[in-house]
Amino acid sequence: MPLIQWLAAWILLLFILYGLAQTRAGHTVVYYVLWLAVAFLLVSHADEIATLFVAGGITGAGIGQPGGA
Amino acid sequence: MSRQDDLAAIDAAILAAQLAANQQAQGQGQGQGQGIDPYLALATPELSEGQARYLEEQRKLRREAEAERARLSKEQEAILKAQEDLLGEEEAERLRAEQEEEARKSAIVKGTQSAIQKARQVARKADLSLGAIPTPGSIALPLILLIFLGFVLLQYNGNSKLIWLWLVLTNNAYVGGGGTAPMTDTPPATNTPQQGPLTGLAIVGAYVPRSGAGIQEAYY
Repeated sequence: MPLIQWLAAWILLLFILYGLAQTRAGHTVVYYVLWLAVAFLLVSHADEIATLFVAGGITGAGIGQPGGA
Repeated sequence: MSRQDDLAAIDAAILAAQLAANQQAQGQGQGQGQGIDPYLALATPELSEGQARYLEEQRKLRREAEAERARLSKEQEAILKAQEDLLGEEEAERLRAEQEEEARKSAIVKGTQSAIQKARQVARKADLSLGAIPTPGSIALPLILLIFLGFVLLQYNGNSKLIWLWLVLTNNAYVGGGGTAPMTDTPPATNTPQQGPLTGLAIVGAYVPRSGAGIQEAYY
């Protein structure tokens, strides 16, 4: 997918979410959808997140490495 | 008691009050020269012969006007009946069909309107019930958590998205696989292009194509 389409899709999604969040019911929907996204992200990357909590995990994630944060 | 009688009684009371007030004003004006409260006079309505005649005339006029209205409606009915007789069966059929069509249309419109109204009610109920669900904290909380997880903690193709952003901004990586690599400096003459052992792609300068899609490193 070209970069411009990817960017446009994200901007559109953000606009929709923002518009929804302005309504009474939409606010609740967006709130719980965001929490759901957090939960999915945690579950799908559980092994990576787990490595952060072992010795050297932070360095392994690129922090403190050349080119890393 | 009918409405007409009520009105007539009110008229009579007002007239009597005015008359009594006038008489009293005349009498007292000769004596003391003070005004009379008409509301006090209203409490004692006594009709003179002339007033009673006047009221009777008014009632008569009203009755005649109503009778006239009734006659007109009768005449109209007669005209309508005559019209129906003149138009004949064919025209009557046509008119009936038109009326039926109108009725059907109005039924469709009514049905649509009621459906829209019901849909609005359902949407309103859903809006109210969903809006009543508590949202502890604020919407910023999951949003910040999501951004932190996705951009800082988790790695994609070796680096976190924040690091990739930095690399792109500093021209050390570029977005979009399968396309052309960004403009790079001309490699020094001593650095001769080498053939990649696995992919067969030429290494131009320090540029190494790593994967077919996503963010790629411009410099190895």
